[in-house]
Amino acid sequence: MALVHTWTGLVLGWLLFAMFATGTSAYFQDEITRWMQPEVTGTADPVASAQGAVRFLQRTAPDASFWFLTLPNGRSATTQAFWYPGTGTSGQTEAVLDESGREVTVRQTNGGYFLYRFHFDLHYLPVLWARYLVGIAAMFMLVAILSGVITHKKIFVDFFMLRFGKGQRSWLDAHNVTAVLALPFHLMITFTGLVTLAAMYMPWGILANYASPDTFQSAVFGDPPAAERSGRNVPLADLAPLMRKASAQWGGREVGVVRINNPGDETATIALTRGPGEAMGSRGEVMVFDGTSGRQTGGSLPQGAALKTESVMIGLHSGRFAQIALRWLYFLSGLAGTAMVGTGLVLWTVKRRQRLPDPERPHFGFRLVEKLNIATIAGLGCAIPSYFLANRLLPTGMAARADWEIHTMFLVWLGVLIWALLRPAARAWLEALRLAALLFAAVPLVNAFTTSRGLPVSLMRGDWLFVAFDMVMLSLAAAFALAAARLAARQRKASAGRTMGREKAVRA
Amino acid sequence: MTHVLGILLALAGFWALAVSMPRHQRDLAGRTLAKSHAFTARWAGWALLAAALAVDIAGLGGGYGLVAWCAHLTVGAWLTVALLHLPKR
Amino acid sequence: MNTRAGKVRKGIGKGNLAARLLAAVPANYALSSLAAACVARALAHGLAVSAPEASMAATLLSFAIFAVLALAAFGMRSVVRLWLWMLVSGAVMGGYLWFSLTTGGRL
Repeated sequence: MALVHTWTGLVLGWLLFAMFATGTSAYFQDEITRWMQPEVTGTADPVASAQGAVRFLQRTAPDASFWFLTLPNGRSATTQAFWYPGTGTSGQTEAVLDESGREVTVRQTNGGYFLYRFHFDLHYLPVLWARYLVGIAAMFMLVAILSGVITHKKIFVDFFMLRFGKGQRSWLDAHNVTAVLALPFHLMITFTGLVTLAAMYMPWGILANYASPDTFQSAVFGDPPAAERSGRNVPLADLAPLMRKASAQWGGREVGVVRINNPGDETATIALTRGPGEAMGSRGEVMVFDGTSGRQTGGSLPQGAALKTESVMIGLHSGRFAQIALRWLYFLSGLAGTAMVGTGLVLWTVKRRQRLPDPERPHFGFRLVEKLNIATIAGLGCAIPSYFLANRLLPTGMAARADWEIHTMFLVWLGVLIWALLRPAARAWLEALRLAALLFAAVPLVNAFTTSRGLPVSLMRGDWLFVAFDMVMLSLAAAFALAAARLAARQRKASAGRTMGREKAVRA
Repeated sequence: MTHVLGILLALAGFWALAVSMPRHQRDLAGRTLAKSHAFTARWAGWALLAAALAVDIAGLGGGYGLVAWCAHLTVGAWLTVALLHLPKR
Repeated sequence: MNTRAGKVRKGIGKGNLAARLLAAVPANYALSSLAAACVARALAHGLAVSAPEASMAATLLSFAIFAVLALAAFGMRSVVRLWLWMLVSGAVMGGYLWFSLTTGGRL
């Protein structure tokens, strides 16, 4: 079982580290987006925003086969619109809109949404492959957690035992503490993560009862598949009364998502889904209306035990229901998960280093793991702040600006990988950790110089979102700096020890 | 407020559980406690953790309170570990 | 008491690692899928649970089954017995599924 834990943890550990780190940031997805759009302020009303978005889409994509709107909630101020263009038009398929339906064009960014999507869709890869890869990693994680629990039952008895600064033992303790103390979170997040994409990873339960997964979907959501456009233009019903009706039906909970099929056509339908932040179950109730008359034609059925369980599991995973205090606890648990994977990866090399035939010249497998550890742990530590720095430093009107923010992040990441491959591992660790600390520390500084919402100003104004963002950046900078300092101290001690050993050998 | 109370109760609970273990008694007080005291500490620990659950559910509602309790246990355990290691430094 | 040689033969060893890996991943996925399909059928047709509920319950359960089987693949002492168990349960579930699909059909 110990072998199972070691190897399942290692094989996809690098991917898991990136998934944990970016997934953790996703708990503050909306806040990160707001930080990355410093020009957008205030809050937006969901009903007015939906009407504004409809006006925008009637101009931009009148013949789309569907419009899909994610409306602002208490945390975000903009509407995310995306659509599937009709046959005649092409080009744009998504936009970020303000309350009145104007496109937010200044400082184009994917914001926190990119980091959220990366944690299960990755990037530069076909989405389907990425999701299978991520699913396999999550399954390995589940097996690693369970085998870890079975192997190390002992740590539940003395789980307050943490000894810092004692070589291999302290790495093991750090791994145990980050793993065991947040174990409910780790188990929950891994299992529910698999559940979010269950229909893709394990479609056989559905296919056993349904010839087509679409039949299952419409049975669950009460939203029949879209009809063909008839070609007869009929204006779309006003969304405001429908949204108010839905909200009243759901005990005051607001609409979060609007999907309009065949807009402007006689066959149009409007599906309203309850916002995912409004209750723990994330599969919100759905109400479906005729798109021209506004008459209700369908809706989701009351959920039975299994569907409710699934809905709550996905809700628990994404934590959208969590208010600010619980959200911070989610974030801390996520950081612990990231640290658990990171310390586990380092532990693999620490444990094996002493057993190497010649520690000065390790074999290829060992070197590969060590270099990938640097590129992943310190490398992502450099890449994430670079994403935020690019948001502030790239020209605000630049073409394909949002894409370049992302490219910048991956270029820095690639840079650290190449650096790690070229330099001796001990030096590369130190240098990359220091660079990560510098980059995180640079974020609040650059923010202060490039926007009017720097730390002193936001402190005075009580702009807590910006204060908190800067503080998290500074804390992460401190954490990386501390890691670099401890590593440097240990390396000095080790090299002193080696010199002494050599002198003794010479004297003898 | 409920969150603060939940975390404090969890911290107190884990602290009591740690105190009920002989190896921590040696670290903290330099000697081991009498069996009956250790027994009391263990029960107090579990009772405090249960109290944290009760407070969380009362303050935050059933499902939400349960989720918050899990988070509070984690934070309480972290703080306990940190406190246990302060004196050694 | 096991001798050391006995442990090597029965535990995880070089000789049976491939057989265990094969059991832990591809065979495990096939078996979990079969289990998901059988549970979904059994709930919907045998116990008259509504079809969406039955399918979802089976899907949720299948991940737990996969994780437990993956651990069993390395935890069971005898590889031969491990594969025997997997083949027999696979055959039983496959037979039930075939029978259920030919007599019941799908929605």
